Amino acid sequence: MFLFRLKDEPEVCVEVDTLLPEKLKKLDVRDVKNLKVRLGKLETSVEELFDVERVEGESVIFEGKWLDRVKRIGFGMTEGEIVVRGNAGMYTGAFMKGGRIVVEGSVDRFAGMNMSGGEIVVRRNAGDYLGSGYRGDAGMKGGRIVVEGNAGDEAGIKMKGGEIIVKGKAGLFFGGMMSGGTARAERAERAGANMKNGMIVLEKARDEDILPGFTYTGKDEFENRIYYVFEGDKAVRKSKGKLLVRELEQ
Amino acid sequence: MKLVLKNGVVFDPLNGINGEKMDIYIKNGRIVNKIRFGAKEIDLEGRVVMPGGFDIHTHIAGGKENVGRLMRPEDSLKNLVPRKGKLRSGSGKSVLSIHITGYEYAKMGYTTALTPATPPLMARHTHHELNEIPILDKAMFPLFDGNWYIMDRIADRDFEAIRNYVAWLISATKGYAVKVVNPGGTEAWGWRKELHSIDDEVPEFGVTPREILTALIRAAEELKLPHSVHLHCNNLGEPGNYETTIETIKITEKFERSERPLLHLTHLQFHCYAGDSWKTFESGAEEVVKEVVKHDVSVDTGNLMFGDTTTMTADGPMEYHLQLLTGRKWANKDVELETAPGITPILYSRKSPVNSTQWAIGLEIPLLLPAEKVMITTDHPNGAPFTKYPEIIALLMSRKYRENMLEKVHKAASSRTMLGSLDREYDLYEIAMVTRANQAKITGFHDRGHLGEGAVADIAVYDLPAEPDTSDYEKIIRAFSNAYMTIKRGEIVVKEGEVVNTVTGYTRYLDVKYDRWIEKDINAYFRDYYSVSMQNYVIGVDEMRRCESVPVQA
Repeated sequence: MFLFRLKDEPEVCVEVDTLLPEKLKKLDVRDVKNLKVRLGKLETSVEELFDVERVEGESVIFEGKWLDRVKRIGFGMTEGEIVVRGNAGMYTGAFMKGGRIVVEGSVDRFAGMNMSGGEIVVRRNAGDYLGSGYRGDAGMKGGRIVVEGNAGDEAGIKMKGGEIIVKGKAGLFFGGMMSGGTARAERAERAGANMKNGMIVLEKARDEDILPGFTYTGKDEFENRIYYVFEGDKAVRKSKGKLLVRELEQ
Repeated sequence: MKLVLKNGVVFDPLNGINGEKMDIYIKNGRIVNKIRFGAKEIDLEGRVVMPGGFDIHTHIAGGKENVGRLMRPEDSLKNLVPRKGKLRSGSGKSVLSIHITGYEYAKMGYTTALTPATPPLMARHTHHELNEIPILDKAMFPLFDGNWYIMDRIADRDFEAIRNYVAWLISATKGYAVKVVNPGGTEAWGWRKELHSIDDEVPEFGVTPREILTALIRAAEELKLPHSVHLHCNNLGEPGNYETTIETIKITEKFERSERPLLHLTHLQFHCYAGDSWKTFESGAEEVVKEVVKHDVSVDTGNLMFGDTTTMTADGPMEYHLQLLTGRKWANKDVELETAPGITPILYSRKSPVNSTQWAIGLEIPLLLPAEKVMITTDHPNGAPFTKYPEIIALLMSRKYRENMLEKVHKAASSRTMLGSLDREYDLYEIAMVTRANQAKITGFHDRGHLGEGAVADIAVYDLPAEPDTSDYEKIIRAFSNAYMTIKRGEIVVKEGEVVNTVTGYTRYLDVKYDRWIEKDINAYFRDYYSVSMQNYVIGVDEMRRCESVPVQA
């Protein structure tokens, strides 16, 4: 649909929550150039910061060397596709309700915050608070996040639904306080602290990574593989959370 | 500034004016009989004119309100108000920050709000917040329910000391009335014991809620305070609590009637539940209403409206039980020797049989009582944020709206209450009573709540005809949420639902006389128990931005 190429390194972060596929599809290049985006506390036009081109296909594409200083890509989007050719800044796909975001580099913190639908694919790493909630709020309610690299701390915290898949390692408190949904990672530290419901699947875990609030309930099959199943976190009343671990290391 | 409001249809219950077309003259912030020349004229073209709205019970400032704000950043996100000209920015939907609290009230035509339930030790915080709330006139009620000094003196039967202490504390905290929340219950909970009736003893003190309440009503009567004891009864929100409420109302039988009611029961909706468990939960409003009519008490409704809100009350045990039910975050703000308010968020859902019944009870009470006895509140933010007042007004005015809502909510609202069978529709005269006149009358704000000569020129104008079509309830909601004009002390602050100007309101407090010997007695408590000294506890007049004192002759 459109390609946005960041002209130069912005002095402060840019916020592009106005550039959503569902809004852009009815506009022509000139209208898009005049749309307003935030540059720090000021409002400025798209033209000032980006080169805009119409391109083949249905996706909105962001390009440029300094995209990690562009925040709120796909903030609250409901349909369509956004492709980020580089690293995306904070709040990528936050409050997202539908559609798809593909980030070819890494994402910064709070990606997929309060997300309730759609999909985010990150080719490299994710920062802290992946699929979390706004401070004080419940986390991700639906949709799917796939991170092909590692994730930072507190991914999937207070998650209520949906799916987070981290192909690499996840940081501290993976799926902490979750009450629904599925969170998967290769490894994670202190996974499922205070979880009430939902499922965490880890491929590998050391003994000390399993929190004392979890009790071992036996082995079970999940996706044609045998996993050790733990239930918890018993620090929470009536908790029914599941922690699945394929390989336990000493 | 001189102002004439021409061709308004005036509803002024305290002066018996019911929908008369007349002009109102304003000079130097007061209403006068006539202005000869030099006044600015505004033609209202038959719009409804009422005195400025008066909220008798709203938690807008103080310690626990601030804990609520800190605890709920996600609530702030739902309503972000940017700075605009002279107006300050703010945020919050159920726990509003202080500046937008004033603006939101003014938009609805409200000009006075009383904040109840401040632990005396937090009074300084409350006053500093009240100072910053724009437009509104305010007053604050200090809490007396779990006060160690009072409970000790009740055990000693030293009534002289209690009366002097009440007078001293109201003066020291610059309060306006005696507020009692779950008398004895919060202190008992601190000792890991629950009180289930008003005759259970508070551990370590050996006094009962009945004794605490009787002593405080007696003190308020003997001191001739302008507002009666403002009571949040025991057993709030528990099925079957209507019996406790009736028992409490009967305490007033022992006292002689005076010019004002002997007791104010606040947020009555939360105290009118029958049944013995959440499964058999139903309305006990009819029984309570009968007693309210018979006795010399005033009530406010405490309506519950659907949606997400934050509950906060000085009733610590109740909040603790509530968070066990909801499983959401919770905080308790214990205040030494005084009380322990709790805070927890809650979502009132239409699909829930209990919430739907509570919603219906909140409407049953005003529809069963005569309008002279009713005051509308939501116990902001416990039943709902105060911004829901227009919806409650519309529900009272329009039978059609109630029928539409009954279809949307859980069927328990129809089967467990009698709301469906109530045909009554409030008219604008009665609405003026339940939203401003009654409040001003029972709290002794004699220059508010009416438009007679000498009253403060707090005026609300709504874009409604004198006899609005009650089936078009959306128009009623729109009119009451966006006042056509709000005038505060003769200054126009709202025009067509937009705040155009801001003024600083006054904080009203009582100047009560007490015997000096009491200070020595109280000082012993400060020395032995409090973490602050008495000198730092007393609030000076210089700490209030704009205040007016009301002398009380005992």
